[in-house]
Amino acid sequence: MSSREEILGRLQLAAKEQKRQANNAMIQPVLPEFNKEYLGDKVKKFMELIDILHGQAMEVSSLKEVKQYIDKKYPGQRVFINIEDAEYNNPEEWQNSDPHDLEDIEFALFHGTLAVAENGAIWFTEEQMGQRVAPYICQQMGVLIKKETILHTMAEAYEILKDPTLGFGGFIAGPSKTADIEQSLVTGAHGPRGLVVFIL
Amino acid sequence: MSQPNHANLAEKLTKDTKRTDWHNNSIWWVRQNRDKAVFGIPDWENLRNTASSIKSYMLENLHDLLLEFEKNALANGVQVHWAADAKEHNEIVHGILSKRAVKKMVKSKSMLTEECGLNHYLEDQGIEVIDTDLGERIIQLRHEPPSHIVAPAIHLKREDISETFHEHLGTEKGNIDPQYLTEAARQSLRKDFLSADAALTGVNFAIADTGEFVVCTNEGNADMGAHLAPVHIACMGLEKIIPKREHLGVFLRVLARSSTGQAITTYSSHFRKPRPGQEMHIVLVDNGRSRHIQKPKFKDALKCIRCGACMNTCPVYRRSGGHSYHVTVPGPIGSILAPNADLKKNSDLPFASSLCGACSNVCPVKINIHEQLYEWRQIITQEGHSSTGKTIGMKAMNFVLSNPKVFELGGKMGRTLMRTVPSLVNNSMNPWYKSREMPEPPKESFKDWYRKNRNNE
Amino acid sequence: MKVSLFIPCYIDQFYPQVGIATLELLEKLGCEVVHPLSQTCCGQPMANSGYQHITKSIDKQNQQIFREAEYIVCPSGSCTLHLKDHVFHGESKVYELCEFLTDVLKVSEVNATFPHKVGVHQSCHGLRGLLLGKGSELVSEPFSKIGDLLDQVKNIQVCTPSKVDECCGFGGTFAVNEEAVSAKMGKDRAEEFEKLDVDYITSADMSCLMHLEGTLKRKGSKVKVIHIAEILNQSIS
Repeated sequence: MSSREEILGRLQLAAKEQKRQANNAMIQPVLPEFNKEYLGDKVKKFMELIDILHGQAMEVSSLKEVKQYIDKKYPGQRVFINIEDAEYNNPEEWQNSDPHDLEDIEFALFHGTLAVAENGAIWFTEEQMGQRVAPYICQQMGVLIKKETILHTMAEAYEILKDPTLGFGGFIAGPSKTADIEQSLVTGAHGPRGLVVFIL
Repeated sequence: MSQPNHANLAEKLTKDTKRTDWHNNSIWWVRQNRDKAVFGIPDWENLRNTASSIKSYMLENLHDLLLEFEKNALANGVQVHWAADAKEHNEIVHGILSKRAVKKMVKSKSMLTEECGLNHYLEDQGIEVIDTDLGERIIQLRHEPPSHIVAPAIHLKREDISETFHEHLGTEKGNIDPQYLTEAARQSLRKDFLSADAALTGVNFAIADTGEFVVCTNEGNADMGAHLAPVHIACMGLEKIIPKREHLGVFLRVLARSSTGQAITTYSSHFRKPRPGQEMHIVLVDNGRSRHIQKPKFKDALKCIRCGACMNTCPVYRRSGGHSYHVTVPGPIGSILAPNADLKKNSDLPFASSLCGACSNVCPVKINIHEQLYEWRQIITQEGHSSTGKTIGMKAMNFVLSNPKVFELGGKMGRTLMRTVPSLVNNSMNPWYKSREMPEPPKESFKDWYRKNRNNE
Repeated sequence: MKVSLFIPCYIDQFYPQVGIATLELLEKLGCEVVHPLSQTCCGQPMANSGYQHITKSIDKQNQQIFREAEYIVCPSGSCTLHLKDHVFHGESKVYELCEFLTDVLKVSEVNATFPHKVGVHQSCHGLRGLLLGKGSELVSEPFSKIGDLLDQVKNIQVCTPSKVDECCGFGGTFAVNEEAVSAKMGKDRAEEFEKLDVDYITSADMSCLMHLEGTLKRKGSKVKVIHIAEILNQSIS
């Protein structure tokens, strides 16, 4: 018998026994309605959280402002931009390149699908990342999110995200960090050292 | 009697009082951070209840959920492997690596591979394994086991780490700045990420409904490894399954808050399909879990999401440290998991607790940890894994207490002796007396008083 | 109201004054109190050490002695919890003294005076097992049955250490099996109270106080321990 069969056999036995003892099968728990009022204004809360997470959040009125920010801050450095704006997108063909080639990206800008006020997390799909490794390997990360995509809680986020179609996605909450040395918080463990969020 | 024993190890580890206090305080600080995070959420207890009931459902339906997960993962183009025990797990991982002639593998935190002893196994086969979580890297360089499941190097001071990095990474001698030391590790590990032929990650949650798995880190090391390497292997204990993606809306809310007091870990990555050209494997590991689930009083231990909150609140763990538990997962949860793996070898662990119950109260999935500690004690004793001396003592005490007359007479004699010949109990044979005075024996017991003053017998 | 008093073995032998205070207090509050003399112990010392299977005779003894009892009241949280969970299996007639006072007698005026600074030690089994108060870990409405009672005492100054409900490290045979950790826990707990500069440490569990007393005495500390029944039984003299 393979390990698979052996394991499944034991689990089936355990399940039968549990059902016998419990007298009926358990139904899958239904998620309750969770409180979100305590968070107050979600945009304000989200910006507060980004600050706590050692990121930087700023409201912008146009893409132009974002571009000015990047041009000023990263002149002549390798900058990657992957947002839904043909004119503004980075011309380099990098989405299908070897991920190792992204090693020297100084700044990368992505669109986020949605953001969560309670914890400052932003959801990205692999499409938005361009390359899966991009938001993790860049030295500095920028995110563009639309104000109306900011939600209160994770429960609301997964209401939208519950049926994935793509191969990879993830929440990112702030720059990379560690506290493994005497619990002193250091940003920039492996991934981005900084995160700037532009709220449009 | 040469097997490791918590009480003896703890005695050694707590000898340095200053260091014990430092350890206690730094771990208590994490508990306080947890408190700050959870007291901000009005329906925290509701979240715990929900998380607990989803995990109960998982335990009851694990067979079906695993099959559903397997089916969906296969459809996603992920290869699924089943390992009955640690040995098979290690062989499966090695098999995958040798097929691709992997020389160097980067690994993000996985308590499961620690439990299986994977690193040593692969190193013996000539494969270089680099732990990439900073804490794990530190202890890997020092050839030490982790002392905490979330913060593996929490037992070390920055001076210790500075020494290690000076020796292995060539950092300045005596530079103890965490920022500087972290930067040195970043530079060194970036080279490893870029040159690795394979990446291995743990799994925090696997979703039956979508066939995907979620890995949570703060450093981004799981993603750096997995998105660069041509092979990604994810190893998980069977119990990491949850039915639906939307259940993450509960678990990701409780995990980091319980763990470090963060609202969420920096990275919560959902791996569903390999990227084009990449190989992705999932190894489902039993290693005693399907046996554990058959024990009604103990199966709930498998609900654990490895947040470490029970360690941070535990007054014993905070003082004795993770290494006193001589198993991969230390602390209260470790003490109810380990007896399932090896009852005899770990028969000391359920006794390494005052049964204060703080662990059960912080547990985000509401495992009745302290009650299970009590129940394991019963099993250990009944199966004959306690010392003969203890059994004789307990039986003698039980005899006295089962016989009211013997109890009264014995008590009277005992108190008289304690008063007249205090050295009979106040000596080095009495562990109590080592750092505590014995209570002063009164002339009259309560029963004596009651007879004189209330009873008309 | 008829109350059967359960006096734990170590209180009977070492702290008779706690039994006396409990009995007098209950009488003052109008209860008819009996103390069946054939009782010895709740069985917990053996059971917590993994020997519950040999305590059947003690369990039976207790079940028989208290079969007719309307209320069993015990001035020790830990023993009460053991009786409740493992001897009377959830039967509702077993009460720890404080919960009996607040929940059954609904005492609102204890008529006691205690002009001292007192630190409250929350005993784990009372707190988390019997729910005499809210554990510091839980996100719920704070309450404390011990606090409610001490609030009724005149001239008392009550204070709480910053680790509000840290274990004292007693834990029954844990105190000798894990001597090093247990003793360290005791020292740390005692120190917290010494820093608060209290005259007394009080608790609803004498076993924790026994541990703290042993620790304080070895240190030569001036801090004393006192069971809550002794405070509540202090009349204006």
